[in-house]
Amino acid sequence: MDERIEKAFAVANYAATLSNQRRVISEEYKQKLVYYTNGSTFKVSPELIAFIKTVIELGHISDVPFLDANDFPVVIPNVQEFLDNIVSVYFEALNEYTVKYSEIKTKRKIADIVEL
Amino acid sequence: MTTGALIFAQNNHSVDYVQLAVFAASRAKQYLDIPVSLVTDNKKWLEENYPNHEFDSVIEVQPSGLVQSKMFHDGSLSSKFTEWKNWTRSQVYDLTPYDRTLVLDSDYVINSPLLKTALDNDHDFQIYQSSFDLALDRDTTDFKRINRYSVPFYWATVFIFNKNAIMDSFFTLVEYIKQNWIYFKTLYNITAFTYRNDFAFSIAIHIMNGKTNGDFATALPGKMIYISDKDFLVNAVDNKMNFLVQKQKFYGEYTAVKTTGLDVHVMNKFSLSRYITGGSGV
Repeated sequence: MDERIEKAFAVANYAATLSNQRRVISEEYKQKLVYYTNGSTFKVSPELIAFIKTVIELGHISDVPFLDANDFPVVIPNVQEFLDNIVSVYFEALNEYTVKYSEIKTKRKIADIVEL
Repeated sequence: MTTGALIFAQNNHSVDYVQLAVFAASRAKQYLDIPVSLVTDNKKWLEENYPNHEFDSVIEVQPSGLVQSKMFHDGSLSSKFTEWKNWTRSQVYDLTPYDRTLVLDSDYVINSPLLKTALDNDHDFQIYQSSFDLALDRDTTDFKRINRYSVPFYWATVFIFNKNAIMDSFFTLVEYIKQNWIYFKTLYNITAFTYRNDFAFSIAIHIMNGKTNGDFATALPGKMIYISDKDFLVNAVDNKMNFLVQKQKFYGEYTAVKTTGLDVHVMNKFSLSRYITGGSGV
């Protein structure tokens, strides 16, 4: 096979691997955003953080009911602590995602992307 | 209240499910820190071949007289038609020694504490409906609904249930569906002939929901992440796993994938077994 064609196929393989690995690290990030409290599940998002911040600013700081990821109500005893925890979960997950994303972006070989 | 995991393993001539269960149990203990029990029809095989197993209890069941077979792939170019013993799952309610039970397939590899937090919930029944295929662009419609026009598909691979009257009724229904499989597969227009726990559970959930879209089943956190039996597990180090996943429509060609901290359903049991035995699943 012509050397240029061979190289093109190799690059296509690399691109497919990179694309799939991006999907996987995105899924890893989403899984890290799951937060549990009082027997309920929350999916941490910028919207949830903003909403809870608003709730606190409106003066509701203790024993406030929220709907969890399954739409089940749960009473949060300390809303500020809840906010602190989900902000921490959010940035921990996002920082990890950012690092992984930057790492694979700089890799130029399939073996390096998946660390085989 | 007691909480623990239960793994089912019934060997056939080609797959040592007990070996997979021993591996799955060590992972469950490491990441979830809960007692693990085994349901098997061959306790002797376990004791003779894996004397250092980590099971807290072993529940022996009688081999079922019923036999069904299916095609087990080992990558996209190799396959074997062999016996498939999946009849016991519906008896889990009576078999479990725990009040709250995490039921795991022996080919489900845990790499995170995600399910531990789900065990702290008080929902009667938690199961996966959403899934994530580690292969890019493969057709996943089979895992959305039990057929194109029918009820939602649920994965019987992993679920958590409480022992109470409601769940007793649910598993009674699953058993009833199993006993009358030909009727239910016709009623729900399922084309596959073999009995599948995923289908029976999906139908039973539909019935428990009053044959509507109810909330009887609560979603487990995250998604059911899987590779098919046409893919390979290469290796697993700590909470990282490397795979070769099939390229859609290019038989024998694979894409490399790495996961970190994701629990993965490794459907290629031959590959998982090779990895456990020799450190490489390829």
